[in-house]
Amino acid sequence: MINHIFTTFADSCSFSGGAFLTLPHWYQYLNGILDSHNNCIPEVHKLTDIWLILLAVTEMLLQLVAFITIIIVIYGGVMMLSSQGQPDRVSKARTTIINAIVGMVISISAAGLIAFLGDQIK
Amino acid sequence: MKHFNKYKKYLNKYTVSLALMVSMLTFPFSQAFAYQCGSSDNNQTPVTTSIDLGCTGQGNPILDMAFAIIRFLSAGVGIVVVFSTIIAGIQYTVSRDSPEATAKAKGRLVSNIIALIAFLLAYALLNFLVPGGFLHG
Repeated sequence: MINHIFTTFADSCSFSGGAFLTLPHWYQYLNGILDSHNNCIPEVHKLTDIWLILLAVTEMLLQLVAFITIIIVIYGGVMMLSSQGQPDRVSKARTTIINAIVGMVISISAAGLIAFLGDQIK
Repeated sequence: MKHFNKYKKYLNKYTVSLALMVSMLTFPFSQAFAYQCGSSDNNQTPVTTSIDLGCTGQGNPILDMAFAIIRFLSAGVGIVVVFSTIIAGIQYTVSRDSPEATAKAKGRLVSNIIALIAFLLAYALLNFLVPGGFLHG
């Protein structure tokens, strides 16, 4: 569903490669034309195109959330491995991992919640 | 790096947003397009813009432009709230085991929810006050 709300806006200038990791281009959802070097030139003449740019940035952030969560969970796991059974260090590591997962759930559910609300209003 | 540190104090949220706004104004908008706000009925002068504000091209130019901007802003509320909530989630994730950082993330989350409720109330009030349901125009 999250993929769906971010792909309904895709129109022309379909992209294949050239992006960093799997992050989208900032002009992913803008209409555009291809020049002679096969580069996409985005066209901006609507005020609402600003929201489409922000949408692409939001999608980049959603992917960064996953990367950050994995890094923090590994960090917490290493903390727990090296705790040698000391209760305070074990509980610190456990809090780290739980906070990381709660943060990821907040971020991902935000997109779904707003999509749901938007459907209700329109 | 030495020179950068000297000017670092000017790099706050106000100067950055000002720079963003100025760079948006100088963005090469296509001059071939002309969009009209308001009609020329009743001896009124329509306003022509090179950016499509989303005007309907009918009625009073000022009201038409105001309603277009209201529509533009209410279209962006959802995206901005998602953006801010994702940042709150990142804050929560990197808070590790410090309760202060977790409290900051929770504060941001609560602010987002308050903002969403305030927007919904304002939108409902506008739909109630203005006849004709122009907000989808």
